[in-house]
Amino acid sequence: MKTLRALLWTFAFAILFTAGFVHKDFRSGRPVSLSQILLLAKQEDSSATADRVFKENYNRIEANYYKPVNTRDLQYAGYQGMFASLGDPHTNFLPPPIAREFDVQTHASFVGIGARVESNSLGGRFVTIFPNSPAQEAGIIPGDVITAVDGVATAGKTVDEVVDRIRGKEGTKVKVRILRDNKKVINLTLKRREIIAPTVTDAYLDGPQVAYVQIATFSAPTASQFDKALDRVMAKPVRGLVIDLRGDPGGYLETAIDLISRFVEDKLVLRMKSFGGKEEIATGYSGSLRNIKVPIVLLVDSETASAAEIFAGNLKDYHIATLVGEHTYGKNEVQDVFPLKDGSTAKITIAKYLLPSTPDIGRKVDEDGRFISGGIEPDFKVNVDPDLVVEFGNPSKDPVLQRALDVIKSKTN
Amino acid sequence: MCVELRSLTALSSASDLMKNYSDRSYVRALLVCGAALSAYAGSVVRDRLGNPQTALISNSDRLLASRSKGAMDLNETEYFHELADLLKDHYVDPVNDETKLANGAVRGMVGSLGDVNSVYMDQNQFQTYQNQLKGEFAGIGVETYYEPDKGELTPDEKLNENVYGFRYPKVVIGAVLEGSAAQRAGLLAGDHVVSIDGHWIIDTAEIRAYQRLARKNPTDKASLDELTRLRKRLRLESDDGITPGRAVDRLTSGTTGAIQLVVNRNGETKSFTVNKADLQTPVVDASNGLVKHIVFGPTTVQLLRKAIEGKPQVTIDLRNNVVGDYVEMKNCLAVLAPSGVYGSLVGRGGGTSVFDIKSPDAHHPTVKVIVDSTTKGPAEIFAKALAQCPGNSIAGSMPKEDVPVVKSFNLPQGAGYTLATALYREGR
Repeated sequence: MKTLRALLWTFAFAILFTAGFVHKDFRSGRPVSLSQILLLAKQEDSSATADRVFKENYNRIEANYYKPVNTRDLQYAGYQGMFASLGDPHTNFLPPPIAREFDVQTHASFVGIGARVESNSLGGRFVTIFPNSPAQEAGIIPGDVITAVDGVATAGKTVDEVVDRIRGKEGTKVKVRILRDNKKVINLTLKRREIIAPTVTDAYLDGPQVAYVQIATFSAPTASQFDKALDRVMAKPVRGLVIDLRGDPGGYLETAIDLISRFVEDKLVLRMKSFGGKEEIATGYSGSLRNIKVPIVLLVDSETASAAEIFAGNLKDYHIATLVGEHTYGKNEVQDVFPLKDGSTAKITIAKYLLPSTPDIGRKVDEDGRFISGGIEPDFKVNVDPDLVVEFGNPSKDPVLQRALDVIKSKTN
Repeated sequence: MCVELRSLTALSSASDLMKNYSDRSYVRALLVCGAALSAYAGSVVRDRLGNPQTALISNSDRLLASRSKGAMDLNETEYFHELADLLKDHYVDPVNDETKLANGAVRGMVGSLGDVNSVYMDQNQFQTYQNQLKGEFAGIGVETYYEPDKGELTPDEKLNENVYGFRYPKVVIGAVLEGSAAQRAGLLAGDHVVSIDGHWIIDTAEIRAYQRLARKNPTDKASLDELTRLRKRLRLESDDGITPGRAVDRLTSGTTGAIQLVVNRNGETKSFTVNKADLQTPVVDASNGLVKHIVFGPTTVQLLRKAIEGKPQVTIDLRNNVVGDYVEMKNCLAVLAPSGVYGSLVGRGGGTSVFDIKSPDAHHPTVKVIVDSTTKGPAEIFAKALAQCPGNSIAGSMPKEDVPVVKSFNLPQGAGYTLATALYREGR
């Protein structure tokens, strides 16, 4: 138990990140002062060369390029290239605007009016309005343009400045003037409140009597949302449980362990090998087991990654569930996140992991970036026309779900 | 829907591209490209259509990003060093080669300029470039250049350039070398490369068309059908995509095998199968006062001096001339033109300096230059400067526009890059 506790502590900082096309990462929220690290580090000769190369060429480009150069952007582009040179797609330098975006996306809950804006010459333009948010309740629609916040015109302001003005404490109010269709001016007062994004949705499929639970990400509130979804959907007569992990980019390792512990107790979840060959293991716990007696099918695809892959891999390795769909993404790495004082963020791969019995799932691509191997192979492979408009959760318009229902049928007959 | 994807969603796929496509530059473009391309991955599209929750989370509330903004003034060199240490201390594999990190940083900086003439080259690419300056060609025997995607952005798009401003340049066959497989196959200067071995170079104008339509959140059937059509096309192209840099690699390196090439020639699509081979060409191909093929490289100036020695009049054919070094070109110019000012160099903010030649020679021949639209880069400056000498003449026409002055620089480990440092403008 002592080991377990030590491990959990480690994992409080070691967070899993995903990749692929839609990815969300989570940060540890532990600011690191680089100058502190610098104090401890020794200056070496090889690094002096690198410093010189960087400085010389930075100066040359800054001074000689024939168009004006934003020096800050140039530096950040340099750091991005520096991180990219390691050849690891998950080790990235995030300049402040991207770091900010990253930060926001990694939280499944936040205080806000529940909308997303982009830059606009008048201030900002709403791009997305969240369901059940203050913004939606006030009738804001995508395309509306912000022209003033709390009576102050926003024309010419950057989107960050506009965002800062709208930001505030939970329960306080903000006045927003918007322009709709370039003609109609609307004044609104909105109350800021906490918005917790649902990460789990559930549905009861009447015909086949199957419970369907979809996990969008492995965020902090996911485990409790998952429990509630199961309570709801398993209350009816069910012949099987389908857990949809398609497009799930993962999230916290702790959340993966939480969910795995609903299905198996005290089992090895993964082995992790970090810098210098140091090995650690992560183990599930007891006391949260859900006693599910019906066949369980997991739906996976090539964007099922990271924590979602660990969840799927464990349920497969311990023969809890059958996997249906495409091979998973194949992310076998753990990243840590270092927020830096200037607002940028360094995201660095710190370890690789192995599942309990599945061989290394590390993704391999050819020189053109096309998938060769990796990920977890499903038990039943379903190839879906990529241009087909699939309605997740509707068996007649979701071939993968249909296949899962067939699998459940064959197991219960 | 897909338009809502941000640069963030691109991060990993973009570095995937950087890693796997070993592109010459466009790091910034690629970062954005990831965002653009990720929108076309079929299953992402499915998620967006069928999964409001996924969309909701990945588009979480930008309005309330709660990050404490610590103000840390960046000292560029120290910061590089500090980041290198951070990587060394934490990265899963040992980071021993800091020079590689520095080269990567240069690649990132050069790429961020988004300029078709400012290009980072890895060891192999820089070697290919240097070989060309010596008249040693490989691949199918062509010289290429990048033509920028000049599509205009609306003011709102400009403000969100990281989302809407993604551009790939087009790869254009600038010159087809005498005696090359490309010449035998029938390729022509001016052909725009569409695909190589089934890999497409994305037309970024199509991405803009898609984004513009999607941004209107259309609900009518015609628009939705058009969106589906554009999305499918972009997905097919991006599934089998290739960056312009790697496309050029395929055209200009390798000495065995063949490539399948699809080009656009004046709006018409044509397919070719072309063999790769070594091709050694003289950097100065001169006989009887006619200099036919001239490559401005390190050995060119001596050969040119020898070729024109004692001749009162020479003709220089500068057609089919794309690759060359600016400094060497100027050295060659000094052999043919007396000391003097032959134009101006326009730098940042419109500041100008003179483009002048200091010739070591007392006598100079009268020169007739032959040019056309395949006279590019250093050759174009060369021709425009020579045309200003009294007695010289020019046959054929070139665009009136200013010509970028592009210099090349070495990096450790055999890598290098080019940088546009000014615009050459003719007239004294």
